[in-house]
Amino acid sequence: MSAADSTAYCPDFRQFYLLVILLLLLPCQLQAAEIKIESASTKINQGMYQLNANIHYELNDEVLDALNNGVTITMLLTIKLERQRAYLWNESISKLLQRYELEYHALSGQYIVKKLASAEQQSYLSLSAALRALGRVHELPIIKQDALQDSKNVVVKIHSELDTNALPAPLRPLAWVESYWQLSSEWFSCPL
Amino acid sequence: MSIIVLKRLTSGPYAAALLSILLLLSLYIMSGATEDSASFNQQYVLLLITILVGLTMLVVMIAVNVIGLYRRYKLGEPGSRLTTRLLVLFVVIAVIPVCVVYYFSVDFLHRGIDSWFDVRIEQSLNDSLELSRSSLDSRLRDLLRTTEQLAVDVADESEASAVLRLDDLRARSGASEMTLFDGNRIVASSNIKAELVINPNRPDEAIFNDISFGRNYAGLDTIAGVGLQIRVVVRVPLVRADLGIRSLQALYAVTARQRELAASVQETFSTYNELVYLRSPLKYSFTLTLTLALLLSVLSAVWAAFYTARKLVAPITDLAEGTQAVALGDYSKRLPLPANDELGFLVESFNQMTRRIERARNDEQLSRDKVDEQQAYQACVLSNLSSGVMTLDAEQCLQTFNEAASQILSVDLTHVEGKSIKELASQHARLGRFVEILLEQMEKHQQWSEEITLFGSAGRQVLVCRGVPMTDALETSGDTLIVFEDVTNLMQAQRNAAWGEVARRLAHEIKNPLTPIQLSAERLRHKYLDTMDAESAEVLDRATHTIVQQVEAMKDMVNAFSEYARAPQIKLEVLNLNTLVNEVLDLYRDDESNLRLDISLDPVMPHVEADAGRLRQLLHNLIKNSIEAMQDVTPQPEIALRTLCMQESNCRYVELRIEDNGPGWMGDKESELFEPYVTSKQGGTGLGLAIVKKIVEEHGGMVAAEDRPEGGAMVVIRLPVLHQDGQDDAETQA
Repeated sequence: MSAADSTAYCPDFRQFYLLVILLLLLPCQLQAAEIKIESASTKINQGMYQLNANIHYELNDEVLDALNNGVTITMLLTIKLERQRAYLWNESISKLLQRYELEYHALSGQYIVKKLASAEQQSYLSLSAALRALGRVHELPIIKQDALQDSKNVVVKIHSELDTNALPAPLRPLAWVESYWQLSSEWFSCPL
Repeated sequence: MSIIVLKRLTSGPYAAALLSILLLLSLYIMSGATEDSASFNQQYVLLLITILVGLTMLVVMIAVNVIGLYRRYKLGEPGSRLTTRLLVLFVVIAVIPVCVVYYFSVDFLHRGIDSWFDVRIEQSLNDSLELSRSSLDSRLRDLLRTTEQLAVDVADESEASAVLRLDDLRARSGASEMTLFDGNRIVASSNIKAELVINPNRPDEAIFNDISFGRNYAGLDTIAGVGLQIRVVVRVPLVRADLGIRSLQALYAVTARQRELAASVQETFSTYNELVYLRSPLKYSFTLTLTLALLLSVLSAVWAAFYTARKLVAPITDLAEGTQAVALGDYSKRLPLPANDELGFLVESFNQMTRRIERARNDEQLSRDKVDEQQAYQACVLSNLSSGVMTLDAEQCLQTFNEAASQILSVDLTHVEGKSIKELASQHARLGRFVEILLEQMEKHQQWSEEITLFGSAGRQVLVCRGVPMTDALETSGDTLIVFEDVTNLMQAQRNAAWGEVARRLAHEIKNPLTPIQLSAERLRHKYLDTMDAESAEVLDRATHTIVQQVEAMKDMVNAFSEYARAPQIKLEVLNLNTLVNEVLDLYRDDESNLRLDISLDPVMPHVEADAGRLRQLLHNLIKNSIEAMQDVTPQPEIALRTLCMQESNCRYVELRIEDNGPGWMGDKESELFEPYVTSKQGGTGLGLAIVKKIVEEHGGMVAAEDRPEGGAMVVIRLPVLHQDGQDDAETQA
């Protein structure tokens, strides 16, 4: 008996499959607005490990609406260094948090990207340029070479998310409840 | 101890109150978290979850209470209906105002937040922004033109000389920074601050794109650390083929005043826009907090309603149960005291009431028991009295009597209990005289005493009867107490004693002159017989002979009298009646007469305590009496003698029966047979049976005489058995 035959005799299963497909499609719709770490790599420059990464930010309408209405959007980049072990969980070496702010400057009509750690800021005429700049991590020092005794089996894990705690207070309860404020990337790993 | 305290804390009012307080605290903290206090930011979700869990627990507690109440209501348990009514009342009183307040609060909140915003303000802000832009636009255009001219100046500059040229141009134009790009590569840069030349500000890539398409750029820009600046990027005219697409960027500072104003406009516009945008989330946040507060209040109120209703109804339920218990006769129930209020007073009064009732009931029970005990005691005394006691009411009906009364009257008085005493007379003719006298005396209503003699088949019976009208007790007023005693035996004993005295005196008075009479007669005969003629001698002989003979007879009679009157001390000894009977009968077996003895002795014969000599006399008297009675009357005289051991109502005794086939007692009454000087024989002293009776009574026994149905007389003697039966029996059998 073929699979088609078996489903023909079991209409309940067809409904079940339909439900499964719908459930699978649902995250795809949510992923229309997403944060995706496209690439990441490290290099040593003057005794310092530096991270280069390219993160794709895409904002949904609700977040865009908030941004264009003067709400500052903060992206939180988490970089973790872990040593992989054979039979145990990974050993945590260090954790680095980087915050980037994106805001709209109504008078100039530009989007401003601020790197809070370095107090750098740059204006962009378009949102896409601003998001591109936001997603470009260039030579970010993560750890000194001396600090690592052994760089073997050390992985860099990167994760980026929209920091809801940095939102204005009245927005926070909504942001914790509503899914469209829950923007975050998968963990991305690359060797040191 | 600690476990009990913990249990008490985690259940009941404490737990609910604690939960409510915790929830209220969480709610307060959460409302604080919506403020801009960073310390609570992380806890917001935790607080929200805590509150929701707490609310769920409250809901579960309420649901459990509701289900419990529903069950009790269905089962119709006391207090469930009142609890339900109170609960509904409390819930309505508590929930409706809270809901009303909630509705108006939310409405007021929304209206309040909306009222912060005004279309005119929004418009004026937009206008001010526009104004700011337009005020800067003319300057932008001027600076664009200026920069375009400067670009012409650097068109043919080589990379090496470009820096000097740029310094010159920057100084001339008043720009704060000037940079020459080749494509997006920095060729040369000049800054008012020399240290910033190394890392000049770069324009957006989009601007470079525009430049490549020949579109120059002039616009406002916010530069880190500097603030608002005017950025102008223009394409440098191509004058030499070996040069690429070059662009010149110049940054011009705005005046301090302009920067200040522009920053203010930007700030205000941005803040206002943000506020407008945050209007909905703000409403959402406040409404959420308010809703949680409402739910907390409502659920706490419902639970409190449950608790209060239960607390209020508990004493009432207890009272209902207590009342039911009292109705069923249980006065020992005590109710737990609630708070010191009116209900507490009511419960205390109930407890006092039941306590008093119980005490009164116990007292009553005690006195009833005492009365019963007294009655039982009196009944015991009455039943053990040898005198007969009876009470008759005013209608001459028999009310009470004792056993002795039945025994003396020889009737079962239970048959006439509660009935008229006249029925006793109609049922037993023998008691006619007794009843007649009772009725006669009762009519006089005074104390009386009378001796009543009854005649029946058992003989004459003399009763001493005494009556007392009872007037002291109300309920027995009109009743008469009658006490009577059978004095027949007493009178008999008195008579016997009198006869004994007569016999003793007779013996004493008569015996003394008899010997001189006899001696005188014998002397007369001896002296004058020989001297007389034959005829006179014969007369004398016969007369003296008669005198002597009669004197002898009188002597015998006097001896018999003295024998009867004598009361020798009996010598009791343990003996076997069978052996004694055999010894006595041996004397008659060898008799030449044709007397036939039929002896039947009980093989199991216990010992008796008796005087052997007196018992022998008794047996001789009886056997002789029978032989004399049968002499010349019965051709084949026969005496049957039996011994038996019998038991009647816990009393063991031996019975001796002597029967003959003679003429019987020939109508003599039994009561008179044993009287002295009662005889049917010629020449009999009438003392034989009287002595028999005396001996039997001396031994504590009884004697009876009756005619046999087949003819002949029978005497039955009963003697008590010695009190060591078992041993005696065994000995006898051995």
